[in-house]
Amino acid sequence: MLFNSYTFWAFYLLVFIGYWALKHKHQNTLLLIASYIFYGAWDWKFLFLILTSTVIDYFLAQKIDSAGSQKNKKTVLGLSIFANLSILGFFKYYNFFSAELNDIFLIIGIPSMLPTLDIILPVGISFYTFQTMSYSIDVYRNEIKPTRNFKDYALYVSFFPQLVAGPIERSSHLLPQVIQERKWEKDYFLEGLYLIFYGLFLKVVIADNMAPISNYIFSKEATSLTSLEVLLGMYAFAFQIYGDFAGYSSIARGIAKWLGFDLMVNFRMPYLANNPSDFWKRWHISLSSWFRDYVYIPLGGNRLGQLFSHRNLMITMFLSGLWHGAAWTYVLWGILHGAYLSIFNVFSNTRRNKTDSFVKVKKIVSIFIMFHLVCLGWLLFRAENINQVYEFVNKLFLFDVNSTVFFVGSISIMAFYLLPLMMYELWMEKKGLMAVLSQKAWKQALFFTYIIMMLLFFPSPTEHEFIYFQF
Amino acid sequence: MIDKKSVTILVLIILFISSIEIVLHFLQPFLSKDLKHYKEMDLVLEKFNNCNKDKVLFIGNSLTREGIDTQLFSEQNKCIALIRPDDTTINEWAWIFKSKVSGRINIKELKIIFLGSQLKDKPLEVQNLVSISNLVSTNEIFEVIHLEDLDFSDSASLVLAHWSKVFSSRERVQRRILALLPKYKEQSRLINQSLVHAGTRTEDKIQKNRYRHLKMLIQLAQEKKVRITFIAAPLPKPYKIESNLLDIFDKYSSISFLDARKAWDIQDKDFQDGYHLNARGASKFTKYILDNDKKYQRKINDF
Repeated sequence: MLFNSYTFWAFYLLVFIGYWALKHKHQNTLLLIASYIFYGAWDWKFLFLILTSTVIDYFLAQKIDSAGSQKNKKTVLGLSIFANLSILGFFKYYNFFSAELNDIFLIIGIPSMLPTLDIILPVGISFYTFQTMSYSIDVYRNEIKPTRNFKDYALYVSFFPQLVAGPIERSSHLLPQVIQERKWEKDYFLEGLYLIFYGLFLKVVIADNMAPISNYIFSKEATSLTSLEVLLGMYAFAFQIYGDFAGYSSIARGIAKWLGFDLMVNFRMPYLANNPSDFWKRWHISLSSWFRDYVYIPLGGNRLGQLFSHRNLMITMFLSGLWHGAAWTYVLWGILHGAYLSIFNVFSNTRRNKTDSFVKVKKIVSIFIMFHLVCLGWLLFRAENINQVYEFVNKLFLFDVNSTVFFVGSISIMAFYLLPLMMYELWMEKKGLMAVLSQKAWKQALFFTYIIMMLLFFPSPTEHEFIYFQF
Repeated sequence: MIDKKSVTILVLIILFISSIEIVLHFLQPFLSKDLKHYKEMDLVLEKFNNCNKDKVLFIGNSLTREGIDTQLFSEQNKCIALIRPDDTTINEWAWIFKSKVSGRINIKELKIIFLGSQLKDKPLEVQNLVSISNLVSTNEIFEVIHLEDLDFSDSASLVLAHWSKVFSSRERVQRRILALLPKYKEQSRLINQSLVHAGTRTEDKIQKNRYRHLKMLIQLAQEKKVRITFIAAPLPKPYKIESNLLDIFDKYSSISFLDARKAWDIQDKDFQDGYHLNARGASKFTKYILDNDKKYQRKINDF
């Protein structure tokens, strides 16, 4: 049940009508049933998995809370993390690690020992596993009290707007909203409408129209492409993944808003970041802040000196890469971003006073460089294998700048779709994320009409699933 | 639940969209010749129905539009009508016959020019649903949903396309605007070719051995005592016709098959592109069809 399908909106309409007709206690029951229907629509067998994950953390969090000594608390927390990571590890990483280990065994002359299993990756498993883990850790840290209501907790884990592709909510933010009675605020309608339509625009108009260009480039041998075409493929994928993921998060926030929930902002104009640290404060904020709070800071953060700070950054980003998928390209993507952050940390300490105009120019240049560094990362992220990355990078630095028909056609299409988007994002950078909603009524109506017309007239000829479902 | 400002914005959005809908209502025929053809279809058929001479109706697509020299039929003292919306195959042709012809137009003869797998059912995409929505009446919408076994999303697309000009013109508007971009057509051709090679295009998804629409059309025609001639179009490159299809042609006495794949005298220079005949080719092809008709008539007379 995809957000950009009629089926989802028919389902949502029924939930919405029923929801606001019910009292709070029954609202949560309805949302829980709807969330399980939503998740079961992919494959009903996955329901057992999410239920198992929910039951484990529901009871273990209570054990953590009631365990007397810190040592006992730590043991139960360890058990919770082990259980969660075992489920995630089996479904997401078993085949990857067994294949890698078998290769190593073969090199040292031992026959393959670990069988490859036919495992289907349950949709959204990485998202809800991180959400349940954060709950147990927050209980351990005494940041929240465990809930005694299983239904409320199950809804916190499975809340359908953000279940399969985030934002990864923290218990301290979402759980109180589940428990407390929700009220409809007068701003909710327009805010929800804006988030939904802008999200659909990012997905249907931006991401889906960039996908054919990047798919075309990445399906070709590097030898048949020019450097400009490789660069174009990276740009197209950068906006495909941004439109896809930021679009999903925006729709999730919008439909949650109409149910009286406030989900966290997950993207904030990431391609206007002027350094790696800024980028991770703008891109997949719910995941980067999760890794910051539950991995980087517990490892010591930057408190133990620069060397340890670099080590901690590399470990955190390595794990972040691995979170995205069981492939070396994702791992390298994480390491690359770890390196960006480390290098930036070294140079960001050397500050000099400059004039305003210099600062402005420096910012523009920094945004340009940062965008290209991110695109280099996307090459790793999108490539079929390491070999393709190697060939594409080689091609890129051959500076073969022949302008082909495909290049000219694609760059004009990208300009058509992306220039208005980037101009709007620059405007939002100045005025604020929801600035359009403080404009005059006719301006807002024009904005919505433009979005609706773009959705109607410019969907991609081929539909594409949301990329982040696979993570 | 909704404050005054939100209501104002909603009303304005509805007003803006309605204005675009009204503009498109009048502009639609100018967006493409094809849309104009849909709009004029009823008139063409009505005029054709009122003709007192021998009548020949063609249902097809651009192969028919470019392949038939109507003048030659007129010279034979026959009335001719070409119903030939672009990019259509048997799915749409069956609905054209059912909705626009059967029981409304008095004909004895129908000719269908086809190519390769165009007589085989295809999975309906949004564009096909838009075409069908242009062909059927409001009363027939539920029949289409039922007979085509449409899921919820496709049913919604069909209904929207039937009621909204904005929705039904979207592909044309998109094409018109994007065609203004430099090298857009060439770029999309390259992408389409790569999709065909990757096996993700509709052409590759055509289900095997399914001729439901063809049989529906044949049975309807049989009921109305209309003889159908299926004509395999000539092409510069040879192509195959499935034996299952030939079996269907053999099975029904009310239909005949004219294999014009290698129609005499048609050469590569008679084509304007890889598929469509030019004026000279159309003239040769039409003569070939007329000759065949004469032979058939002689046979009947002899019998």
